[in-house]
Amino acid sequence: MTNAAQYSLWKSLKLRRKLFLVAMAFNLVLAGLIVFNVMVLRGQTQVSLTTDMAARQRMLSQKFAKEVVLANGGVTQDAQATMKLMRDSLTALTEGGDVVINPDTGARGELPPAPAEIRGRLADQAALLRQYETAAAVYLEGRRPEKLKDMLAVQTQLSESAETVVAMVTSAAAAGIRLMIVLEVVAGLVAAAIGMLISNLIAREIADPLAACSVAARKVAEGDLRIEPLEVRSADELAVLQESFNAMLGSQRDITLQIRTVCDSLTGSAAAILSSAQEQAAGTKQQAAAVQQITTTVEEISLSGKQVAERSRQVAGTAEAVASSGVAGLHAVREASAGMEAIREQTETVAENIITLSERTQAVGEIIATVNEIAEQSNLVALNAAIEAADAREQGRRFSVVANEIKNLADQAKEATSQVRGILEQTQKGINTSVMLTEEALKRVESGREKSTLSEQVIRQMSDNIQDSAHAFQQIVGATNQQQIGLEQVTQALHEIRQASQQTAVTTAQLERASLDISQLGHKLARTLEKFRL
Amino acid sequence: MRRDVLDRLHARLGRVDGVGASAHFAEALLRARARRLAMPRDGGGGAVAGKALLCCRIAAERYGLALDELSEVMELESWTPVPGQPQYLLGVTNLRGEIRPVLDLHALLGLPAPDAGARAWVIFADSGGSEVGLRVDALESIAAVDAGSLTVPADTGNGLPQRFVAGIGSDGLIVLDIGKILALDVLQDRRVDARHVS
Repeated sequence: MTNAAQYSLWKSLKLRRKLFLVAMAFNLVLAGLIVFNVMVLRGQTQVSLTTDMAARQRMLSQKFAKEVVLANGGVTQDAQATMKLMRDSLTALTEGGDVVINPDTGARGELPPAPAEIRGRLADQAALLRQYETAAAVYLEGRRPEKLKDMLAVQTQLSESAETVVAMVTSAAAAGIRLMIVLEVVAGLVAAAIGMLISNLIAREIADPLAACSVAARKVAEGDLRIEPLEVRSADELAVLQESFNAMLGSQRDITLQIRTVCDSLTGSAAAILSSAQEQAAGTKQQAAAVQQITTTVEEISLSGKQVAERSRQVAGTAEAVASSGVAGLHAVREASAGMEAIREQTETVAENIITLSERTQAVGEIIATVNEIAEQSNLVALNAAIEAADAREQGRRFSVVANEIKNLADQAKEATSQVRGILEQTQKGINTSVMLTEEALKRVESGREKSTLSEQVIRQMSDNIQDSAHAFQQIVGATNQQQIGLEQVTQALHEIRQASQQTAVTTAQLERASLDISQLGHKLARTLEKFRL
Repeated sequence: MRRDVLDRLHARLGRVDGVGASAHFAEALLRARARRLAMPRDGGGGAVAGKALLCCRIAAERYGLALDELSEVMELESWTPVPGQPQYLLGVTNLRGEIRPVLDLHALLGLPAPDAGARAWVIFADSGGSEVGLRVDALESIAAVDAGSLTVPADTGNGLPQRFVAGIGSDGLIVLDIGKILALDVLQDRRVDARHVS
């Protein structure tokens, strides 16, 4: 009841207390009515006692008369006691108070004072009683019958007066009873109306929030979480219920939101898992293919390893053969080296011969130059002779012919020398070429000898290497056998990997189906959650 | 390799033998000589038909000099330059104890100078008892040229080289006028001085 202060006192009361208060009110009304009834009934008892007392006055007057008569007859009677009783009763009737109800038992009762109108009657009765007593005394004094008659007349008046008082008391009592009935009916009606109003109010206070709650609960049941929170207008149990309902609505909304978010992420995760599973499936297939390829490759490697081993064995054998051939090659190279040396010596001889030839050619050239000089001198002589012949005119004509002939011879000699010189030049060129070729040949022979020396070294080294290679190949053979064993183990391992990969593929397919199911469930959940309108 | 060298040497030797086969060459030479000897003798008398000229070569051109105005030819082995003289006076040389002036026809005719180490010949022209040498690059032959067949260059030219040309032959032979060459001033002075000396 945190918000009890902001409501009125009635609104802030608990329902239980309200009902308790209402019941208390009803009880109070009921108690009032009962008290009222009791009071009325008590009044009625006094009225009936009063009536009895008034009626007894009549009976007492008759008894008094009888006793007086009897006393007159000689029978001792206590007529005075009866007269006293009548007097006391009348006083009690008039003034109220204690009175003897039964003279034999001595029971006493309380009488209320009489109303004014009745009191007048009672005063008349008192006067009559006094007359009655006086008449009785008279009767007794004289003992005359006419006096008895007077006394009986007074007694009749007294009886009538008592009758009248009884009638008046009875009618007053009846009037009181009617008033009471009317009062009770009115009070009962008012109480009933107030009770209906209050109960209606309480019922409305209870029913309205309950109806709102019911409507809201139906909407929530339909998935509508967008409804406004219930309005709390009191601080009673219904308010608690409404607040709890509001809290439930809020928390359900939060929970639904969270569920929706979670469902979204669940759907996303399921999709991611599905794609991952699919990728994994593809990867597993690729892996299986790769393992297949690797297995094939390893088998090929194993096969080629066997071939390598076989080849290595062959090569080792060949290498030994080559090593022996290498020794033969070494001998051959040594012979070739010796042959190269011989060639070099011969080539040097050839070179010397060519140099000699060149020198001789040069000597011939010098001789040719001399001859050419002689031819030129002859030409000069012939020209001079022609000049001389021209000087001699007719006499020199023959001489000029001779001179001309000498000149022709000189020209021919010159021409021949020039031809010889050309030949010599060609020869010289050839010799030069030969010298160069010889030098080249010498160089080549030299390089050949170096190469054969080198070849010797190379062949020796090669022979050594080949022997090393033979050893190495034998090691290769051993290693290849070990490799073969290792490859068989690898093949076995690959077989196991393949089986594991197939199992993985099966598992991945299951995973894929499961993730698909999860994804579908997520979608279903999302559709379900779509029912909730937030 | 050895075989290769031998083969090439053999080839070279065979070629030299082919060229130097003297039998074939000598036969051809003798044959040519016999043909030349069988020619009629009138060929040598060409001088009768025209004027006999001594053909020589100066630079790249052939020149002709009248044979009857010459005295001697010889190889010009050495000469002594004379200072203070025109460029076309090459110098003086010794001819059997006599000092002779030598003209440089290259400079005189405006031709390019010869190589310094080239052989040279000198043609001595006879000019009234005094002989003047003309330097040429080579001597060729004696030829007979008809004076009528020469083409005389026009006199209108004022250049020096044309002053010494007597005519040009049909085969491009330039015939020099020895008289005009010898009439040069330096030679005149030279002659007077020479008389004083002699």
